[in-house]
Amino acid sequence: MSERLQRLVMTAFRGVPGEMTVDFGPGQSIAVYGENGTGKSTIADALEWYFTGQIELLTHEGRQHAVRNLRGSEGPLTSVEVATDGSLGGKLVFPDERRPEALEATSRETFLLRGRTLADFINKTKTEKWKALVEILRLDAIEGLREDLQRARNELRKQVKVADEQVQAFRDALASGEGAVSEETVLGNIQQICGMLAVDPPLSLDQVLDPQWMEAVAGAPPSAAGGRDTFLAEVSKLAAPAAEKGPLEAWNSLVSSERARALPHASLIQEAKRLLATASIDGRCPLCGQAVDEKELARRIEGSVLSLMEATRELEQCRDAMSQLSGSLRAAHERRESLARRGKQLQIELPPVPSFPQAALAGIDALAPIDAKSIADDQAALRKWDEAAREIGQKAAPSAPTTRESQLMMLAALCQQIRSWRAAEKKAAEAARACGLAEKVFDAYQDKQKADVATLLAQISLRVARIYLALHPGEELGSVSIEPWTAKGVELAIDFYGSHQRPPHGVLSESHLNSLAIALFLAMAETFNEKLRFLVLDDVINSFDREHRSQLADVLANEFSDWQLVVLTHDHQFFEHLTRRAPSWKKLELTSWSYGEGPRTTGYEASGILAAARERLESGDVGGAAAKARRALEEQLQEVCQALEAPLAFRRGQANEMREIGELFRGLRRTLKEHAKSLLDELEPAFKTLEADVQATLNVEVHASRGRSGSSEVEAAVRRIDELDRRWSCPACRTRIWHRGSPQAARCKCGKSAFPPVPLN
Amino acid sequence: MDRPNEREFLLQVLREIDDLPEGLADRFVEVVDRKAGDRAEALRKLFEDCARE
Repeated sequence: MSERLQRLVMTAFRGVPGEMTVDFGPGQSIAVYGENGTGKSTIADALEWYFTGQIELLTHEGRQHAVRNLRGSEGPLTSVEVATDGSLGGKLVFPDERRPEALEATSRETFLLRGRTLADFINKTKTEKWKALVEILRLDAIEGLREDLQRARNELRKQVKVADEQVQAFRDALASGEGAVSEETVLGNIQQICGMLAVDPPLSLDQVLDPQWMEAVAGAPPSAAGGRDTFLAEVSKLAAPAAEKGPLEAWNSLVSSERARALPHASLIQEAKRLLATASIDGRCPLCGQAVDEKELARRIEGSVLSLMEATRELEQCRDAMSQLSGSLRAAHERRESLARRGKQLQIELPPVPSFPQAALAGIDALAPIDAKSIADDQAALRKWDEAAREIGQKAAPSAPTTRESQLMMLAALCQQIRSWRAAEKKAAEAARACGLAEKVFDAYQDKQKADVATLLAQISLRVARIYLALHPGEELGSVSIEPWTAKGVELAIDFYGSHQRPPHGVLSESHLNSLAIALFLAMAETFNEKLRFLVLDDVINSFDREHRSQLADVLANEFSDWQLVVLTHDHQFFEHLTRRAPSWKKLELTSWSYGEGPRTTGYEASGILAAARERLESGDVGGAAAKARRALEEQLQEVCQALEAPLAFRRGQANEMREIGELFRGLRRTLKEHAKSLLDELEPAFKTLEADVQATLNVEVHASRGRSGSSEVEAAVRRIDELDRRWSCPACRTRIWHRGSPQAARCKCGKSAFPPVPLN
Repeated sequence: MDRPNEREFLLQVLREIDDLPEGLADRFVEVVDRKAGDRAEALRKLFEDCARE
């Protein structure tokens, strides 16, 4: 439910030193007129303070304490009391100790527009307009979450960048040359180091990343052939195997002899010997059948067997020597081939190893002579190769004085780098995924926010355009709108004779811009207010000409008849026009303001002030009651003097409001003496008593100097003032009509009484 | 005029995003509903957790 104002009571607040009440009836609109400095804006201030917790102008100037009336420390507590037709009413006492959340429901609502801040929204930057709109639309919570999402995303973006840089740093550290590093090249490097360490190379980087693998490598014993220094030592000590001529010549001599040629028949002779030993041959050869001497044959076979056995033993001896030569040559070749391979792994390129003289040594198995020259050539080639390898080794040695430990350290460092690289890549991948997700959510959030705001702006724009058109009918201006501007900005725009102007400052006059501000204010309130059904417009027409003041009065009276409007103005013509257009509105005219009394109105409040005096008495505030009673008597005498046209000396401006009670009594006596002598005679005793009350009982200074209360005296004075008040009112309805027109007009509300009781001549 | 709070607004947004990790919406709501602490930091951690899963 949105609520309307019913009563506003300001006490020791701003320009009100005592108490001032504005009565809104059941929630009627009101037009308040007053010249500058008569206290109109105090009404707006009080409502702003009550419903928002601050008066923006004072807060802006750092003068929040100015909420108190300057005489506040001497008088009552500063307070604002509001009555509404709902639950928002209450009494606020200075200092305001309400928590911000207590004001949340009303402080964001649009209800107050002041002339001095009229163009504030219009003149804000695009970003400031956006912020103001966000506050009015209560989008700040949604905007706050958007900002948090943006911060989270930005932080993740930074993390992605840092993670990528770390990955690149590790890549750079691992890259041996200018080429790009890859898992293959890194694995190749590891394998090379393993070659230097003579340990089994890894098959993949995953194997390298296993800490157990590195432990195994570190714990492996160094190979006899491993290591660069070992390799170089081996190369420096190379020596080709010696090939003595004697055994080679003996082999060649043996295999070229008759005995050696008979050796293939050794088995046949052995078989013949066995046959002769086991069978009779009867004088004939069992093989060819020729006549033979058995004994002679046996002797010859035995001789042959012995010769062959001797040759076989000699052959075996020679063959062992040749096998030894062949073996040593093969070993020499294989060692050099091994060194060449290891050298390659150590990046030491050795010359090609000479071919093994396989063909030359094939004679060993074939019982054939061996080419001694080939063997000698091979030995020479090996010596030459050894010499070349030593030279290469000597050149390579000083530049790479590495040890197994340093190689292991290098390998361990490389493994650690690889682990760090892999970890950095994993971290970068996770950061990229997190950032991607954040981007997706943030983009969707922002897009929806933009779309929703665009919809809201379109709605407001329609209302602004309608109100603006009503303020400027007949002008050939196109539609007014509020348009989004980048992600966090909005701007007003207008179609001006076919040209889209955003912002409209370049084509609109000051008064047109002010009209736009009023239209925007009214549209905002219409669209978004939920709690407050009243609007306060404080001197908003300063830059308007007569015609546009009338247009505004018409718009307020016609378009906002279902709103409670509190229109404060110093322009009497606008006030008159507005109250004529809206006869149901209440009217309040402020005539003057004084330091001691505050705002004065044309309405007389004698009975109300007298009631306040009684309240003071009940609460024990005798001094306050005396002041109120004196004020009530003054109010009553002013009202009567005005109604009876009592002759008082002319005074201009506020001095007219400063007349003392004695002067008012003198004027009243003169009028009654002239027109109603009997009434004067009747009232004179009461007049004299009240004059004495004013001098003593109702004299505030006397009360202050006495330092004690005289409540019974004040109570009696209040009673006397009330009795006099009744003499001007109908006993039946307690109302009075002061019109001096026809007898019908000079009647009270119930029509039973006429005034004055004694008709004026 | 209907003006959703930031929680409802976020849920509307998340419902419109395809292939979000399962349960992310509920975890988002937990973060948004949490009054104390740095919400942006909590959101960042939430995105990181989702990326690790």
